[in-house]
This record gives sequence, structure tokens and C-alpha cells, in this order.
Amino acid sequence: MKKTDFKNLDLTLYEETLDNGLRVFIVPKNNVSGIYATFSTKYGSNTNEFVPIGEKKMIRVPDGVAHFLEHKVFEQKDGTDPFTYFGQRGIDANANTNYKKTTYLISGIDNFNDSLEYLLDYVQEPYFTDENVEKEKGIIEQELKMYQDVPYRVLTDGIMYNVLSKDPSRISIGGTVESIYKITKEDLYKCYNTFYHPSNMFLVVTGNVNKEEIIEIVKENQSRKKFSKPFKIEKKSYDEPDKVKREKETKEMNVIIPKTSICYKINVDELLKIVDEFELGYYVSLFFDIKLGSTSDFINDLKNDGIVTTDLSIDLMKVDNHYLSLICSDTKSPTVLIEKIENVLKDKEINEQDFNRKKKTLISSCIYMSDNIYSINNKIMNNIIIYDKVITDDYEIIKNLNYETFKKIIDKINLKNKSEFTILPKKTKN
Amino acid sequence: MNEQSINFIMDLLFNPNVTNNEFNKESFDIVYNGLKEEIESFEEDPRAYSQIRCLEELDNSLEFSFRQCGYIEDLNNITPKSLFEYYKSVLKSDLIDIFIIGNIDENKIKEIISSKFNINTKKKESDSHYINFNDFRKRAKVVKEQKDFNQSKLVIAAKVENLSDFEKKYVLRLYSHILGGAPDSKLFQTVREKHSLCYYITCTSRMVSSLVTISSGINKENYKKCVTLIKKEMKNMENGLISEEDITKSKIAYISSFKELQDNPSAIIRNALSHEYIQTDLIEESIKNIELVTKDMITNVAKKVHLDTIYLLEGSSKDEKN
Repeated sequence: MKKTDFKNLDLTLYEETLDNGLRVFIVPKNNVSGIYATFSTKYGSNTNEFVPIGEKKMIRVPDGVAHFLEHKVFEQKDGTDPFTYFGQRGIDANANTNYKKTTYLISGIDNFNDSLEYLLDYVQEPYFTDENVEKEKGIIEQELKMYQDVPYRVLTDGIMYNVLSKDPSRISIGGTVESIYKITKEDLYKCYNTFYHPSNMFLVVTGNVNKEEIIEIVKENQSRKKFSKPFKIEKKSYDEPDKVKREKETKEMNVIIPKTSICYKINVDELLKIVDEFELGYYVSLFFDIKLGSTSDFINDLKNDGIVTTDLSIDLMKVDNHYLSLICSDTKSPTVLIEKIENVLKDKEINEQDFNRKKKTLISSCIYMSDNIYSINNKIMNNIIIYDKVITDDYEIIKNLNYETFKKIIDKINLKNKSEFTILPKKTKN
Repeated sequence: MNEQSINFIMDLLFNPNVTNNEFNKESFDIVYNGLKEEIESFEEDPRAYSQIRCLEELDNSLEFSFRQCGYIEDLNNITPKSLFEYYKSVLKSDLIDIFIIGNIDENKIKEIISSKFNINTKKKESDSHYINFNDFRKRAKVVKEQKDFNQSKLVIAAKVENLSDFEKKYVLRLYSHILGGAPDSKLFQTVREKHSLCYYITCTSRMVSSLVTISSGINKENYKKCVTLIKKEMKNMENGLISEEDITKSKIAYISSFKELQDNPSAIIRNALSHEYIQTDLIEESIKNIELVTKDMITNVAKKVHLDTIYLLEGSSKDEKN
């Protein structure tokens, strides 16, 4: 196993790639009692056009198929219910799908080794039938309808759809009620066989474990199963343009307080000439945080003026070679709020004191991360998905962020490509 | 945690921004506006709204039916001056406990706290918060309300009759776990997995309010079918259709959730807090006691669960066509 220390943190990463291509990451943490294991495929809702294993032509599958598959992976040929298996052992189990990955997870204290092995087994041997696929449609329909009633889901789904024009991340992760009713057993097997090959998956175990024991269990388990040789998956690539698809949209919904959002689509090609991608994320998020975050003068003024009553929600995500900076809030004055955000971001002046103060909070969150087995695990998963490797020197990267470079980057950030999405209360009829 | 950060908190607590016996108007307004918006937007969340509506229909005079975000009429009566009066009364006569956990020197931290925290309400007796019911409906009350949502929300509340301390703390908890506390529970397996009627269905017991609630998101056309299935599963619990495996699984789940608390400092404090205020047992004792629960005890508790209110928040939106 390859051993790497996380610099300046009391943590060590052990990593090994098995013969079948499965990557295993272990971070032992022996001052806690819990263990957390995640088994992920680098396949999420944003892959819907690809060449299935053993075929030659690109196919298009219905929206929401990755999430549908996540539900069905729990189905086993012998009828065992994985939740019952884990329940008998006091282990919590769950799964989730996002744009770029699907993760099956377990956590607990006792009976962990058996459960870890069963996690590998149930994910690697699912059983789909026409009947059990049909049965799931009613369940997922209810899940999607539940989300349609959550205003913030509608807001973020709406703005993603408008900001992106080609990348399938523009479509809601679960698809639509209409699209999921088109999904068949064959679709599921094609996606499963292509994306759930061990060479497209990775296992991350964090917590109170013995690393040798864990790697032995996993190796032994994998050696008993047959897989085809690792292969390269051919997926459709999208040349996502810088321009947003639609600049403005308003939707009426059953809400009392309006909700608004603005999303900036920032091309990173020029910025990556100044710093590497690990640093860039920190610099860009610092910019939005200092300007609009919970300790900015800006948010204080907004609250004093009664434009907002809580902090803005600020998110940064990466889609291909673009950063999407998404800012959302409840507000009784959506137009004024958007105008004010645009104005304050136009002024790119930031003082060094604010920069250094925020740098300190980044360091403290880095240390907090190292104390929590869930955060460590999430960090590793995100690193693998975005960079295909685990970053172990975050502490130093943050320490070395510097004000002059920050100014250069901020100066080059292009805020012209943006989209707004607002939810307004329904006008009463009559 | 050091003296400096304790000083900072003490400064926040004891030196608020007050002039002429009134809170500073600007900061008062920020908080006031925030609470006002929270109250106004409460009805935007169909799950929380339907839960509280069901409890209001069950008995709107009891505390558990009060909205946590408060009511606009009450908020309107609060002024910077009256709030400062309230602030003084809290420090003068409210019950105050301080919990500290972490890598600390016990004696030193006690000393710091007692020298800075100079008020007299420490170690005051708390009142009992437990609610007991003694009248039960023969037939459940059914309430339906329409709102513009895509999904309908079903909430069922039952009153629990006269339980012993042990039943409240342990048996009731296993009852609700077996019925609908996890993906391998009876309700989840029947209503979701077998009949595909919902995505979520959960059963929660509330020890202090002597209540059991079940909630789910469904299509309104399936309302009757869901209620029938839920009633049937509740009846099965009364009739003792509970396997030893169900009981063991729930005990294990309960024990591991308690063991996991020990990794989480704020969870340990919460546990100590409920020990102090509602007399729950501490972690080790809870783990020992849960083992003592038998199937008969669970069936007995099941017989004392009386269905009271069935509430349906009917969605009226047409299906979205994307």
C-alpha cells in the first residue's frame, strides 16, 4: 500500500489499486470508534450518452437513469434486502447520486468487516427484472414530486438548466416523472455493466480500522469474482460554450417569500495559466465569500436595509472547464438584490486584511475536516472525482495562498456570463 | 477553548447592545425581520406544515402543536424595550445549566465559569415536561386540506396511554423503530417496497408528549389504500406479529446509535441535557436497559397506542410536464 501523510494534519492515507482496477483508499483514525465506508462509481446523472461495453455505437439513455440504477442496485437475486442485512448488524446504509458519481455507503461500529464485504457483494451482484424495475417507478415518482415542492430544488434545477446549454448537468439528477417511466431493465444493465466495472470504481474507508485487515478483506473478496479486463469508457464530450443558455427566467410557485438566484459561469482556461487547479478553487471561492459572505459589509447592509434576513447561500461547482458560482436567497426584493450583487462584484478591490482573515477560516475548516471521518471520506471522494487523485497538502496550499496572486486572478475573472432565476408567489386567481 | 473565547461569549451574553433600557434598534430589526419571514414562509414546507397541522387538529392547546417559529401576533407585540425586560428576567429567574466537553482542565474551567458567570439561577429545579392523555377517540378524526403542491402529505397521529417510565424510554422507542423507523421496518417494506406508494414513510415516537406519528408523501388517489395498509401494520403490532429478528435488529440499531454518540461531543452534551431536563438515562445505562425489552412489552405498548387524527394535505397541482 502506498502511504502518504496529510501534511500538517495528524492523518495518513493508504492507497492501493487492485488487479481488477479497483482503487482502495484507507485513512485510519483510531481516536474515534466509528467507521465509514463509501463505494463509488465515477458515474452520475451527467453521463447519458456513451458506448456500452461490448458495443460500438453511442447510445442515449433516458434522463435520471443513474439515480434509478442507484435504487435498483439494492435488488438481489436471492431476495435478501441489503437494508435488513445491515440492520441486523447495527450498520447504517444508504446511497446517493449526484452529477458525477454514485455512492453506496455504510457506517457503524460493530460487525464492520462482514458489512464491508457485503457492501462490495450487493453492489457487484444486483439483479434487475422487468417486474422489479416497474415496481420502482412509483417510488421514484414520489421522490421527484417531493423535490418539486421544495422551492430551493426548483430554483437550483432551474438555474442549472439555463446556465448550461449542452452538458447534461443541466438536467435534474433524478430526471423527470416522464423520463423515468421510459427506463427499462435493458437500460439499467447497459449502464451497470459499463460503469460499475471495478476499474471505474473506488472504495474509501475512514475511521477506527486496521488498514492491513481492510485491504486483505477487499483483496480476498475481489479475487473471488470474475470481471472483464479494465477498459476505457467512451462517453460523449460536450464542448460547453462560455455563454449561458438563457439569461433570465421567472417562475411562479406556491411560495410566500420570493426566492432568487444568480449564477456566474466562469471559464478557467486563462486562470489556470496563473495557478494550478487545486489553488484556483480556493482563490475563486475566497473572492465570492469575501464580497458576499456572512462577514461582509455587503450582507450587513442588505440586512439593515431589510432586503434579506439571512445570509446568502454561495456555492461553487465545476462543470468541465467552467466554474459555476451560484448565489441564492429568499428576498422580498429580488430585482434590487440581484442589482446589488452585480454592483458589488464589479468592484474587484479587496483589502489584504479581509483576504488574510478568510484564509484563517480556510485553515480552521481544513483542521476541522481532519477530525471527522465523514468529512475526510467526502474530501477524498471529491478529490478523486475532480482531480483523479487525493490532495494531501491542502494545509500548505492554503498557507501559501497569496494576496498578489489573488489580485491577479480576480482581475482576470470574467463575470459577464451569468443567468438569473427567480421564483415568485403565484398571483391569486380572479 | 480558552479563557479568551469564554470571555468573548460572556461579553456577548452580559453586555448586549443596549441603550436606555432598549436593545439597539438596528440589530433588533434584523432579528425581527428574520423571524417574521420565517413565520410567513412556514407554509412553504409541506412536510413541516402537515406535521404541525395534524398535531393542531389533535389538540391545539398542548405545547407540541405550537409552531416552533412562533406566531406573527406574538412577534408584533415585541419591542426593543420589552425584549430587554425579558432578557433581564431570563438572567434573573430562568433555569440555567452550563455543559462543557473537550480537552479541558476541569477545575480551571469551573473556576473561570464561576468567576465570570455571576448569576444565581444555576441548579434550579426544572418543571416536568411530560404530557399524559386520558381520553381517547373511538374513531379517528379525519381532516383534509388542499394546497397547491405536487405531492400530498399524509400524517397520522396516535396518543399513547399511560406508560411507565421504562415503557416511555425504551419500549415505545423499539415499537416505533420496528413499525417505521428504518428501511427494513414494517411500514417501509409494505407501503414503499411492496406497494410502491411512497418514497418516504416514517414512524416517530415522542416520549415527552406521549405521541406516535407516521408521515409519508403520496399521490392523493392512494390515500385510502395507504391508510388501510398503515392501520393493518399497527394492528399487527398489537397482535404480536413481531418477529424475534425484528426486536433484535431494533435493539442493535438503538445500541449502535448510542455508541456512535460517543464520537460526537455535541451529541454527548445533548444526551446529558435530556438526562437533566427530562430524566432520560445516560448512554451506558440506556444500552443496558434496552436489552431488557421483551416482545410482550412491545405488544403491550402497541395496545396502548390509540389512533387519533388522520391528516391529509392534498396536493392540487397538475403534474409538471418538463
